Amino acid sequence: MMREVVVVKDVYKSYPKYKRFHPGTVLGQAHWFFATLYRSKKEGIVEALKGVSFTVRNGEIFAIIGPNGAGKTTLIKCIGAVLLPDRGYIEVDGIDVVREPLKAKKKINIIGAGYWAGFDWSLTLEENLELYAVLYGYSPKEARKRIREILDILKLRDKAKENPTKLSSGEKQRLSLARGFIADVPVYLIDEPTIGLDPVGAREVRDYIKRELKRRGITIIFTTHFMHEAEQLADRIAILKEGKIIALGNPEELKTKFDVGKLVEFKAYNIYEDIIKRIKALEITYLDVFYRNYGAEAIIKILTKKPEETLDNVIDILLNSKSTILSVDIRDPSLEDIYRAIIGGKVE
Amino acid sequence: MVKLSEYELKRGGLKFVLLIAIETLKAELTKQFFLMANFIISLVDLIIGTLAYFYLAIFIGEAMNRYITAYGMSYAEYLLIGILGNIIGGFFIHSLYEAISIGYWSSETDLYITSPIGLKGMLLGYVLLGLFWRCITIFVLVVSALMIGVPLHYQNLLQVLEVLLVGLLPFIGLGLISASTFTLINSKSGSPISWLIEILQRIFSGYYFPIQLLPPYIRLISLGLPHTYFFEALRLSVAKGYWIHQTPHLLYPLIIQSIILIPTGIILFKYSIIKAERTGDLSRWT
Repeated sequence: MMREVVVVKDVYKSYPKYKRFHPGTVLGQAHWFFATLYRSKKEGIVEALKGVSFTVRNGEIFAIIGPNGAGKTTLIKCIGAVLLPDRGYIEVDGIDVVREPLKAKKKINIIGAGYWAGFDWSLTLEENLELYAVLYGYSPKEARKRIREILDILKLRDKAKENPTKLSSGEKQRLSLARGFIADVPVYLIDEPTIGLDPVGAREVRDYIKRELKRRGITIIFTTHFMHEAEQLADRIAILKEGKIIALGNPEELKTKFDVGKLVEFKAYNIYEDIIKRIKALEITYLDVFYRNYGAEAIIKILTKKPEETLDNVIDILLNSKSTILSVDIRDPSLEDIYRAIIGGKVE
Repeated sequence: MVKLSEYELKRGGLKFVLLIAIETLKAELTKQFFLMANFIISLVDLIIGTLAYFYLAIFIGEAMNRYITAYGMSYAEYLLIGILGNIIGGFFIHSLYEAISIGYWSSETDLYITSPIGLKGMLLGYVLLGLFWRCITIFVLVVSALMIGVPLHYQNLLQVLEVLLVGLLPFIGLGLISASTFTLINSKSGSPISWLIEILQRIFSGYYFPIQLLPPYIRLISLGLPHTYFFEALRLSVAKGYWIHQTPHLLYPLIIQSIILIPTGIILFKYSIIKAERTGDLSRWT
């Protein structure tokens, strides 16, 4: 049986919510005074995590998926010892994260996207990575050797003397990964690895995670908004909604866990709001509409336990409304379809 | 491949924090000199500002001399000591807040928070950066004063050193309190403590002119400021060679203020760090 490397048990976390400061006029030097005044006023409490529990096995890739505000980043921060949970127990490679955060951080590497990554735009890639390597215990000389290895792996060697501003989005994200690769630690926490990337860049990053990190036997926990990404990368997936894990398992288990019936899909022209309202009134589990070609063409996805009956009823509605049906399909729903239904609150 | 575990035992404690601080400082200086034109413009501004101050001091010196005869120095020197004292005292009051603020707004706190070393190395690095810039300012001031021909007393260095050792203690406490406001009251756009002290000390501490010029009831505010005693002790040590222990009217208030401000500062700063760990207030990663 594989060893459990990450243990998260009954973790709760809430934040104070501060009054936001929106200056209507330019306040100049007085800005700090009003900003402080507003920021020190609590408006309430946000319950980000409400009793989250799971374990991750050695070498496993574990995805946390959920909509904005589900608590994904808070959870990653708590596991990474960046944020103290209100209560609960978190263990990484046998170390209690709450009691010994600095010791735990020697086992963890947090990789994130966007500005928070803390890269300095006036330093070169090498200089940025060198500073980070020193934080993980390498001497500057050792760091330079290690950085050359990593930049080779991530195909960034020819950009080593350039500033991060010169990189494409995909290269910047690879730079984030490069920083992560420097520290040789057993657990990687990756926050939204492909956010802001074009499809090609996103695929490159996913390939690197799957190929390089999996090969090295590293345990990975990553967050994402995209079910297809979770399905492609992860051994197991946890769906997080409003601070609670509402489903956990491998992709196949998740598909069978939710009895949502079949997916009936229509492509049609001239789909207006009143048509959608009439379809929603039918006995269905969930409905999603995607418009294409400036709204002229619509794809209607319907999850239903009575596919034939739904098919007949929807065809009647569309024909009576003088819509043009381009195609019709009945099939098993993908995990993405099920996920959308869960997040939409239509599946328990 | 180099394993982290090989270095865990060798590296740790103060030596490692110092190494991180030096790396942070190195990276920061590389950044600062990245835009060399900015640096040169700032330097020119500093030199011109300094020269303007000194010429102004020489110009109004005649009128001011009768108020400062007790110190046995020219008004230009009186002003220079005030400015130097303010730079050194300001370093202790503002540098920790500045260090947190630079790290936070550049998102670099996230880099350090997620690493095993934590924030210590970063804070020390930025404090050293503050020290570096203040040393440059002090150098420009002194060289400018010498070039203009401001007469300087520099024979009582030991006495000055004693004043600095004792007189700066309350400033350390104020610095800790100022830095704690960053997370305690979320004053991320500027420290209210620094602002308040800066405002008060300009008028009430004897920075630019002796406090005897102020109406007696306003001088009560001066008595509450460590700057008042510090500047006075500094001037007396420079010009007259007084040791601070020979001037108990200056020594005792500074010691009492230190006893109050340093423990208060330590408690508030520790609490601000605990609060930041709970709320994530030092992180811009959302």
